[in-house]
Amino acid sequence: MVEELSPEAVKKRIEDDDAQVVDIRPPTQFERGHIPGALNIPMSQLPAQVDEIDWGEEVVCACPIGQSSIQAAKLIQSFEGVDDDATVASMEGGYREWEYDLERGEQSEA
Amino acid sequence: MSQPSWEDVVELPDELDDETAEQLHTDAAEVQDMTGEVCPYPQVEAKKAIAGLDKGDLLVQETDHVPSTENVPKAVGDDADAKVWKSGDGFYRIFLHKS
Repeated sequence: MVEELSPEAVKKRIEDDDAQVVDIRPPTQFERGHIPGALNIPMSQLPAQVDEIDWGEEVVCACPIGQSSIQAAKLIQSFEGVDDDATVASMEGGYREWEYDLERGEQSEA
Repeated sequence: MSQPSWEDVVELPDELDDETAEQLHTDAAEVQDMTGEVCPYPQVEAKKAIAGLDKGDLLVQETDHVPSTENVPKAVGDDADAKVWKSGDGFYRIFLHKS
């Protein structure tokens, strides 16, 4: 079962727990505006790239409407390189519900 | 470490056999090619198409994106009964019968 977090809760986890945000939208959408500090791994590339990331204890997946991000969270959770104790959540409502600041441009560093 | 797969985490609707899927595909009222498309475009287009169909009509959506096989039926909800056919090499057809 994937935990679904409101955008407000996601913002708090980023600020308080340094949660990793994984944005699974295509790069063009990501560059137009994304949650500050988010990592862009387009959904189609996620299975192939999941082993290239140093996963932390707090991960949140974000997509346009909060549906695919649940599947992305399940996929990341199923990866052996993610601790059993780690929380891999999905942002409820996706970017459609995110009312806070967005960062523009490509991601600075994976 | 083994690479995770979408098929391990996506909840597919009931599957159709090859023959049934082929026959239904021939009878479809509308076929949407969604190969290469990801969330939320396939969901949006499926909902629009279903809204324009008559009860009992069939919409087929073709995709290579496994998560769509769960997300598209969820998006249309009770407006259609969903089944899926898998080619076995990464191609899927989602069958949506308007309720």
